[in-house]
Amino acid sequence: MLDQLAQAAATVFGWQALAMILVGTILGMVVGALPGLTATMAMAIFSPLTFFMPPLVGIPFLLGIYKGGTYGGSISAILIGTPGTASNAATVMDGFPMAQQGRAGKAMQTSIYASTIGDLISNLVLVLAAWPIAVIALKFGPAELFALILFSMTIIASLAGRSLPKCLVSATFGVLLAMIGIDTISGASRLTFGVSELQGGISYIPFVIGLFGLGEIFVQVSKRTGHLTVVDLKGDPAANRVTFREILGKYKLTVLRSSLIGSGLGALPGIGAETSCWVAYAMARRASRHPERFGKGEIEGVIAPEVGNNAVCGASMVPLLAFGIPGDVVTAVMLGAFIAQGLRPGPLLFKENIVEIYGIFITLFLATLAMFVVAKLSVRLWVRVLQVPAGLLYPVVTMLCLAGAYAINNSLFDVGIAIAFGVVGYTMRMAGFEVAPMVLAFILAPMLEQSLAQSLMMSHGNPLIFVTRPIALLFLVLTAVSIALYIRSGLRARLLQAAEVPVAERHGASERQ
Amino acid sequence: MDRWLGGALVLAALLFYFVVVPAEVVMPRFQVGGGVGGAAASPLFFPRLMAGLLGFLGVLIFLRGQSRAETLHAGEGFAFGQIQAIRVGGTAAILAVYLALLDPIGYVLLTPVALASLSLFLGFRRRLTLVIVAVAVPVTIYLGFRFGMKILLPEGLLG
Repeated sequence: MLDQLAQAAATVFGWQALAMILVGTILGMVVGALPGLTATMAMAIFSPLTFFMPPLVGIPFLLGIYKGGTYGGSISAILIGTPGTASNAATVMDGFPMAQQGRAGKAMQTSIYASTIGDLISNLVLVLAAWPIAVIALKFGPAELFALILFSMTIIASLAGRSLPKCLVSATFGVLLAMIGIDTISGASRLTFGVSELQGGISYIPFVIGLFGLGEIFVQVSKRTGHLTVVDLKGDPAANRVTFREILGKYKLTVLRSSLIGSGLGALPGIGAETSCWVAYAMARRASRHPERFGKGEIEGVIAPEVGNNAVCGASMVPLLAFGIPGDVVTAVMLGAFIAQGLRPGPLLFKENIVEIYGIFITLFLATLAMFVVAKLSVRLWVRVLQVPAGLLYPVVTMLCLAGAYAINNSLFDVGIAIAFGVVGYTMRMAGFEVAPMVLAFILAPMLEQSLAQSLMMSHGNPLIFVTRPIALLFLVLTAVSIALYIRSGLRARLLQAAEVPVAERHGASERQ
Repeated sequence: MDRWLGGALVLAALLFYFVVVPAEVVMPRFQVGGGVGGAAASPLFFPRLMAGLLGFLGVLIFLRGQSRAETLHAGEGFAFGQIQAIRVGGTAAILAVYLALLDPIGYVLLTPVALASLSLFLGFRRRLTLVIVAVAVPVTIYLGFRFGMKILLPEGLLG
């Protein structure tokens, strides 16, 4: 064990890995800070680069982007009142008022400390939880895996915005797109429409670059944004002072609560930093002696969401590493990079690739350190970064997207795929469809289909295999409960909506009178 | 709008189930048993299941159909007017032309033109900055790909 640990440490403490962690962190922060560009998008665009690096250089690079991007969104949330990513939406509530009151420096420093603490705790959760879970997962056969993936697919419903049917339509198309190409079990050719390039299926990375990269650029382009108005960092030095000790001492309960919320929600499939930041914020407000100060520049209103969103980073990798099942879109992109590196996330990774596992664990802490150092050193630079004109920024990112799509297979067809899914992604967003369910379904569907076929082969076509094995049965029951809960909450929401409409109509009628 | 969408989804599901799946799924000789289990392991199972689900969701969306104005009021989707159509359509058109010409003209020659066209189309007017960025970014990408990753981007006229 110590040999493997030393081997992993030697690689990740090498200059290449350290440099890539640093570059990834900086890149993640820049992308996270710029509204419209997300960490997922950056990971999709830059993951082709990692295919040409050793695993313990490429994956640290992506982890740097992930962590840097999750923190980076808070910069624009504080300085321009627009979150760089959805994970930092709650930070706007108090971060921007603090900046407007001349305490931008304090808000930025608080966000750095809070993100670092949340990140560290999340790393610990991953290190402590992934291994025991993977040991249990080793006992899973195809039937258990099928039931688990089926359960994971119900989480797609949690990605639904306001319309569950639209979310499911998006997921359905994701499954259908995943069916294109040669079926790995039967060898049947499916839905290729005679296009030879489709025999191998749709390439995952160009697909994701299109949906998340180009699709988002089309959205931003349609909004006609020019320069952003950035709050100045100058202010009273005394009012802008904050220390690590102050955050860990005076606000320890908020930090602890938000860490638990972030790590707990992050480890659950489907619930990411977008949700945890709001839950942490709401809980901090509820527990505060001065809830009336929230929304007006309360420091705890920055601590809670920033601890909460970064506490997701490590924890969200638990289902990915232990089961090989991505819990959210970021880990779905990461799964693609793992596979391209010849690493198959899942319980066997803990048996066959222990050096890589140790390396990833060490990298997580190094990436947190890199995030902290870069964030501390770059506070004053962000005002300039955020002023890059959209008319220059988006064309450059577009060209990076197209080059990234080409790099996977040296194929112009993949560039076409990226452009086509860019248009699809934009159209979906325009029509109120979520894009994330399509990506998750695209990743999970082949696993689901394969485990189903393998289970039925094992049982000679007898479907009872899924109910005679206890773990499979447990996950099937959980799937049924999960679906029942979604239906119940959907019906309840509709009933509430129906009850509100007559009240609103009555109110409207009385106003007209 | 949702009524139209629901109707379109139902039509698409029917077309997919009865026309596309039979024509585009080439059945293998090897089959897993018979009965329910065998059917579920067939390569036809998921495409048909998804077509059925799509049809069901289409009916659901049709029945819950709201007007376009209500949809936007509820926070779903966003407005799509003439300006958005021009900006998005123009960007997509520049990318389509870029894709068509990339192989014959080559990355290094075409990308600066495409990048500059896109920037100008999106309203960026600082010419010197634009020229520097439009040349520096593609050249950096090209050199990074060629020497860093050993990937040759299309050379076109320079090849």
